[in-house]
Amino acid sequence: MNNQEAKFILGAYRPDGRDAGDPAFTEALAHAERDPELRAWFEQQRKFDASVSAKLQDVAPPPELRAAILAGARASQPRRQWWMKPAWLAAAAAVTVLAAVSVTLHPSPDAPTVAQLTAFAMKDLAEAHDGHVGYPPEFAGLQAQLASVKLPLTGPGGVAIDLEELRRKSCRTVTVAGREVFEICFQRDGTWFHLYAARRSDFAPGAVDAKSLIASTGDYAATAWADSKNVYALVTHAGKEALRRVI
Amino acid sequence: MHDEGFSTLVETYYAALYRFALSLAKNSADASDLTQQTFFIWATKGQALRDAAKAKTWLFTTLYREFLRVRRRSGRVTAIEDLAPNEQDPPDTDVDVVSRMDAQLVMDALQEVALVFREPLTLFYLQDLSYTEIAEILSVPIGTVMSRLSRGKVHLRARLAEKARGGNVIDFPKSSIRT
Repeated sequence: MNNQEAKFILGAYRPDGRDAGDPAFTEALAHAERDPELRAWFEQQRKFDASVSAKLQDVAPPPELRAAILAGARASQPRRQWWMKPAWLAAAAAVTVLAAVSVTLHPSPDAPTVAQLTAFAMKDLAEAHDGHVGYPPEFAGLQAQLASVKLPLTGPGGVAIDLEELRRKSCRTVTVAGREVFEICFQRDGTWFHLYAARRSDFAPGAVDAKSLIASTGDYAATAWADSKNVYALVTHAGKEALRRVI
Repeated sequence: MHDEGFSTLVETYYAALYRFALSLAKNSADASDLTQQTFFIWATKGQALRDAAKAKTWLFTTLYREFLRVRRRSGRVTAIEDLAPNEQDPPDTDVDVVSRMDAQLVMDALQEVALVFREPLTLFYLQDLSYTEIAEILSVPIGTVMSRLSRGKVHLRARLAEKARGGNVIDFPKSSIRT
């Protein structure tokens, strides 16, 4: 590599040094270390780049822009009826499968069923769930636990969710037939899962066997189970097999 | 849409997106409009994107495409071939001089650089994006990004030097710039 080639490559090296680990720069950086002329050029270049960069960061957006974005984005959301959307069809399929298998469910006229919770969870994941940007750090511990526990999530000791703690930490909440449901996202082996948890007493009594209760439509797959305190729906967009591996 | 997540996304990226838009559009009104439009598209389509690591690239790509769409409609095109060859390093612009300059003056100088160079240059100076991400956003090969950064810096230095002297720079031919 000659100096001209090194300059060409180092011109793309960010002045704050965050490209230091990029192998594409390794040879050019080493060359700059050895060659005094190139090193002087590179140092001058970085100072210049840092200086321009700092000036660019000083350019402030109009003060009202952020508020306008937030207000406008709310107005931009589609307002179709939820049961007309394709994702509802996926959720409906989940309800059908769950209702057929969960023979021990005896829903009361008032309480929603676990099947409804699962259908809602699939619909929520497909349509209303935001990305995982800026996920609150308060949930890092629980996410790590859910990500690493080797036991099936549905088994004894697999997962213990304290709904009060989730409420205190302002976990994302949704409602199903007026019942409060908490949602937490976690990753296992690079796959995102979404756990919806609610008080068992808020839902129709009955038992569900999660291993036999996998419903799927396309890449959306869901299952549900209950422990002594809570009912759970677990949903993923990574398909049935991915779900099967964690339950 | 999860409001809290969306607010965080806006908080994290709207300033950088606005700066990129300002360098492209050259005026605050259009830059604000482009930034808003980008987030509105996210609100209707982008939230399906579940990989947080890709949100940043998605937003910058969307803003850039919106800019190109508007620009195509207005019939403004530029060609890199028509830019005056200027591959020699100009006299170094003193870093202290740049540091003393007003931020808006530096932005003005950047806005005078031809668009083909200005696009990667602005993304580079925002520092949020690597050269590979810049290549992805602009849909050009990595080598092209490096080449345009190299040439763009030469042009930017020339304009900054002129600004520092309080003069004007003779612009490149505007007849037919095409990307």
